[in-house]
Amino acid sequence: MRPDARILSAYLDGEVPQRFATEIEASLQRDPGLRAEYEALVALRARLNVDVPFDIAESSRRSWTEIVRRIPDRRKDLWHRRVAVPLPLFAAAAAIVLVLGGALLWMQLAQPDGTTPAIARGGDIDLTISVGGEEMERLLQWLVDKNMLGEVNIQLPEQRFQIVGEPVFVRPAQYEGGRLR
Amino acid sequence: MQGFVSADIFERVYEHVYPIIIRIAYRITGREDVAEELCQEAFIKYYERIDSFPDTDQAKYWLIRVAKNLALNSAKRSGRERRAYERAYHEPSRLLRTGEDEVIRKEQEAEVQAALRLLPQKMRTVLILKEYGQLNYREIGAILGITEGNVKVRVFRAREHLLDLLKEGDVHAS
Repeated sequence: MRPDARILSAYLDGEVPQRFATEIEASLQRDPGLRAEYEALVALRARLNVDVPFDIAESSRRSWTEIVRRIPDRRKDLWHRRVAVPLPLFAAAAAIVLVLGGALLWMQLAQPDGTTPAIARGGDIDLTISVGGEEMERLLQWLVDKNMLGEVNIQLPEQRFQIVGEPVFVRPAQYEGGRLR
Repeated sequence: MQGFVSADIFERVYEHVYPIIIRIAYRITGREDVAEELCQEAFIKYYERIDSFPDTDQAKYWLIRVAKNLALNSAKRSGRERRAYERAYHEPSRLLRTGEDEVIRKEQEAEVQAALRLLPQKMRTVLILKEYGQLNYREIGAILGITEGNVKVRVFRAREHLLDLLKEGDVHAS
């Protein structure tokens, strides 16, 4: 069977299954008219296959430089990107973050023995404040005024003071105007 | 662009696809500077959505499609401008002749371009993708959104049409 021009065109492009290709090759051998048709297609392809009149490698380098110059830094651009998040997904994510955050905070504040946190009890707080001279006096007075003075430990510099006798507990009520009552 | 996996992919796709799309864009527009500019535009668009391509083949088809569309639009615009210029000055554009070899090369080149310009757009596009895009029928079909059978028919008709034009001597480089 004589292949039509459409099949010849596909054959030129290597787009014909192998079993047909063998038949077409045989037809081309025995049919001069068909061979002339095929050669016309080959000649047309050769005529079209004039490469571009410029250096592709050079063009590629030029374009690459231009593209790199024009593309903004992706890292800077990340903050300006729009991200579409469905509202239900966003709400679920927010809820999970809140629950996990709350649990984490509770675990950090909880005592190792399993008791409730100190702040929740409203109890003792250890606080170290470095003051000296008149500031110390004013601090003590302020604590008395606010009725907040429980126990105050004062660490004296050892080089300047000699410890005589035992330490004495001083209650807020015993202290007034910078001296003991 | 450094420091991202995408940059590496981008570079690999660029190395592979640029030589293809510059040839296609040039065959459609007929101008090197315009073709280069269009290819740059296509790659910048690609960079902006690089993460949305499942593989480099899809990226390649997409880039060819974008470059082809940009080139067709540009060719339409410049065709209108050229015709307006020629109408205004009654003077067809001419080749600059700078030496015998150069003249012959340019004439052949211009003849090819002229022959392609004479084809209807659908035939021209499919033939350019076939001859200059190094693509098979399946890939051309994927780029143009048509079947392989349709590609086969269009390529054949484009060749038939061109052969007729060349036989009749209708192709004149302008």
